Amino acid sequence: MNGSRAERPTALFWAEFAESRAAVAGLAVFALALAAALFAPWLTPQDPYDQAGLALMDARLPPGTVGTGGYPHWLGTDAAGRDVFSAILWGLRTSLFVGVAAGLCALSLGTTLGLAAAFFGGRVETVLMRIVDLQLSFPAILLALVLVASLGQGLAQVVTALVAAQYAYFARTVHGAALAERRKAYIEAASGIPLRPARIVFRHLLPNVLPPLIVVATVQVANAIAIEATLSFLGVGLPVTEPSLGTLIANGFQFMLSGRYWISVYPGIALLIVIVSINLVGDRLRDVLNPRLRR
Amino acid sequence: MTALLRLEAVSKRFTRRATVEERVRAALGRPMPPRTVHAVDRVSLAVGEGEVVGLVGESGCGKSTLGRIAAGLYAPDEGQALVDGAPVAEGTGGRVVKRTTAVQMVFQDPFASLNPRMRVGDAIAEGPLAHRLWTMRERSERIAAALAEVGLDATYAARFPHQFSGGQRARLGIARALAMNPRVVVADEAVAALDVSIQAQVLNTFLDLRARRGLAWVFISHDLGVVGHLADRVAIMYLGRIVETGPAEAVFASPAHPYTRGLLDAVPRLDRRRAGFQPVRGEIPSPLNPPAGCHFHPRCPHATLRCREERPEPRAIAPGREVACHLDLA
Repeated sequence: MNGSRAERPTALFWAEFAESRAAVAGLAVFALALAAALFAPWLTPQDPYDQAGLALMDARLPPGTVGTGGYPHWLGTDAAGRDVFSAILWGLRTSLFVGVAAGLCALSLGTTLGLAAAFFGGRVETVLMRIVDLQLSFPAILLALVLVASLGQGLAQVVTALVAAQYAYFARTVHGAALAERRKAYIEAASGIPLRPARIVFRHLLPNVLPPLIVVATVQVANAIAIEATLSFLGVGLPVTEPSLGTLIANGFQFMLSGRYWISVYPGIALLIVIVSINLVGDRLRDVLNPRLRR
Repeated sequence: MTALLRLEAVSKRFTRRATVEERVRAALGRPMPPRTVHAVDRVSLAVGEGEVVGLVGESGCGKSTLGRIAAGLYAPDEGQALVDGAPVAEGTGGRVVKRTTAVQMVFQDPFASLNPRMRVGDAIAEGPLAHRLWTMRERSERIAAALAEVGLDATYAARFPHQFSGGQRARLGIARALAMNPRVVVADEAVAALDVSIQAQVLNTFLDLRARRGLAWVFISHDLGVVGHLADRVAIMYLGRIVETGPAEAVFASPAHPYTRGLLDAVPRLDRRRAGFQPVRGEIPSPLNPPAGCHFHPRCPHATLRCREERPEPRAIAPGREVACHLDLA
């Protein structure tokens, strides 16, 4: 048994993934961002949601200034006297939550539809896949914009809009991969036992379409964060009471020309770092999981 | 002998989807020739309790399709496949629903027929657990027993299919089929993908199991040597029809159908010099457009006018022997 341990797929997988330093760095940065977002209440000197804790005296302080709170504002403060560093960590919390929640929901919805279409074929497949094709011909941001505009502001609304705009990417990917797998003999062997269709789909088909799915999932989480930031920046996404990184960038945008760059630029850099780190991980996964690039 | 598995005049056709050109022509009232392959054409075959039937033919003759009908992977377009008098599978709305676990199949490509992401122990146990033949408590014991039965070590259960050799994978395919406690096993070219030395080992496993379990087997192969080694009875297929059936020894000793003779003559033998070898003339015709009458007539050295026009029905020539030929060659 111990002899086969070294051949475990997960160990091999990690060894190959770690060959790219950039990807490992991306993973580390993303883990750090996740931890920072998770522990924001304990890591920040100020609760940016607590209006009573804000002092107008501290408004628009440049980075490094010590405010009335007696602690230094390393990234400066905004027009309401809010510590930008604290706001970024709290904003990261919202942005990551929206991105991951939307990504996971779109993943489950898209995967189920894609698998159903590939396994059942016929009319089910035609109807589902034509809807997906139709949706993919619109940019996701446009679809999300229209949906949020009609659903209204709020966290749940934004997540719903993102799921509706993104599930199609998952459905398309899973459908393609499952079509190739469905014809293979092990599926025929499973139906010849016989096993129930649901079991064949989830125990046999799904594990074998996972690799491309994981790649799409990482990229789509990054996309969801970017789209949410765009919506919030445009003022149609999350309400100002629940600021995400996009809201923060919009919040400081009017001060850009007056030299108070930090209110907008630092949340922007935070957003950039998060998206780049996720994409680095996604790119590496694509290389490792693509059988055609296997050595 | 009562028949356990009975195929009654089963047919299976495959139709290619019409291309744009064909649809346009059909709409204009000038349809092109039909694109239907009669993979299996009104074939009847019975397999008795504990009997080993060898199904022989060239590639493309429909033997795999017939095996899949017997195993319930395809529903026949006409006729029926019955095990113990009940249909093996039902076709509903274009989908096939298998109705029994009494017939199991061993596939030609042992690697492709195992889920690459499932441990082999799980793969073996999945069917019996889903059908409540095993309980969760006895699971690991039963897996060990199933592996031991085909000569594999119980510790292999935690491995993935890619960690096995070709011969071991073939055994895994057999173990998975036997775990369902079937009464008939359809083995479709189960050893064709293996090296000859490994083939012999797996064939010995088959012989072992045959002696121990008393199962009925349908052994599909293009290799007459393999079939002669295993089968009680053989059925020779040509272009979707069975041309001859009978006890293996009798058929090999005195083939009654000209095609069977051709096949047997084509087996390379050490005691015969190459110079005297007369192959069957011509190529196997396209099943899209099979010859009229007896399918074999364009290649048959004895063909008559009747062979060109009338389909020969199987007729008994000796106890347990049938041949579908108008001529009396036996």
